[in-house]
Amino acid sequence: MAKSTEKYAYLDRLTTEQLELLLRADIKSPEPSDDGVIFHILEVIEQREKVDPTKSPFDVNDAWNEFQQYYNISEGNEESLYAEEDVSDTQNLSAASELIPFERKTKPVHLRRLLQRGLVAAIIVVAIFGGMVVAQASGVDVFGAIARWTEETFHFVISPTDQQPLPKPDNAEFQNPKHEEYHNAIQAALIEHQISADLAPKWYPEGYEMIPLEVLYDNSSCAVSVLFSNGNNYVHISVTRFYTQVSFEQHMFEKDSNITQYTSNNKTFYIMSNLDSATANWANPHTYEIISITGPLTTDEIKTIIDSIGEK
Amino acid sequence: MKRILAIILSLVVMFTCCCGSAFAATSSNSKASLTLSSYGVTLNPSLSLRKIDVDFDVRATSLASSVGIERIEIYKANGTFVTSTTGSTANGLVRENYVMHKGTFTYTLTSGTSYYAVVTIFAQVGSNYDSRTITTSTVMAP
Repeated sequence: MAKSTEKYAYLDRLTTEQLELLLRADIKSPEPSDDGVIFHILEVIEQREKVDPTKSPFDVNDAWNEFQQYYNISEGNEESLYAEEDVSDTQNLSAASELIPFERKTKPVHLRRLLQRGLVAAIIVVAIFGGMVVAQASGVDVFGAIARWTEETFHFVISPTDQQPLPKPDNAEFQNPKHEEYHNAIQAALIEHQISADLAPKWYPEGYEMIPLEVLYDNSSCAVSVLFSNGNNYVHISVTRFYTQVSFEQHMFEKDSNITQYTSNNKTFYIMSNLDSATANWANPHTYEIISITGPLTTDEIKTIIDSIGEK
Repeated sequence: MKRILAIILSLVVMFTCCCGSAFAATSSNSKASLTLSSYGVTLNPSLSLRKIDVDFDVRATSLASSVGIERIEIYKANGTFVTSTTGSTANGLVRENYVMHKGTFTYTLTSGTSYYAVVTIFAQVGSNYDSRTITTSTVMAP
């Protein structure tokens, strides 16, 4: 309290009228107020009124005359209550600044407002980012892709984003006559059951023989299932066409950790590991078709199979 | 200054809470399956009156000695148990010596009543066995 008294002692030397002038100038000023100055001015005025009540600034007759002159007017276009407001504002401000011997210690307005706005923006960004993190972890793909996964499972969903139609591949030469035989058998089954024919691979891992393919049904989907064996291990390639969006989206793939994406011939496959096995999946959200390649394959082998699907 | 510090602290707490929720949303048990590759089970109203179909698709990681449905339990929408079926090759819910099994199992229930199914799928590959339990959405019997 003693410190503030000393700090604002200069205000005590001003007359009541000068103090009122300062108050009016502060109200009209765009700069933020120094609350300490204002409170001290009000204190001084209050103390003076207590000391000499007869010198109250509120003269009834003067107040009534002022009301009649300035306030009791009919409203009109662009009429101001203060006829000499523009001129007197400038005069009051300059007069007030002359009365204050000390420089007003206020922060630059633009910097303070910039800081406030920056903090608000930072809060919004953090909130949005946090929501995106939670949403992504919950399985919602905030970026509009059709694949969703958690730590344990992976599945496809229909995205509102339309995909470009896939170009029809031209027939490429087969590295192995057996590969052509496998390809043709699978393609024939796909065509017969109205599944995209270009999903039949043209390359298969060396040493694997195809076991006669099967076409399996339930009321929600149809799958062309092809099993390959090298005597010890098995590679399973299936092309499934789901009849409904629900059955398409409800098909879950087991996975352990990371998923990598590999794009070839305009198809983005999701390659994931499941302990000793690897699976590569691609889905067409328009036709509800999913092709899966599963087996103890190396990444290069999986990618070679993928490259041969829809190969030009 | 205090206000700025309070805001910064709020930002840190908010971000921490969001990341914590994200970690919680992901399973604490990161696991895969030795025998199950993929699967899907849906409950659908059948074309026939009073019938509901359990459509299933179960795929193993390799050639399975047996793969398919271990058990189906049917409940009314309010949780009242209705009936159950244990899978076998005889009723078509289990297949032996192949990599996958797919099919539809139909129940005759009460028309106009809503049901859901709790289905346990499985795959046995060599000496390894694994299963998953799936709860379907609720559908009304036609």
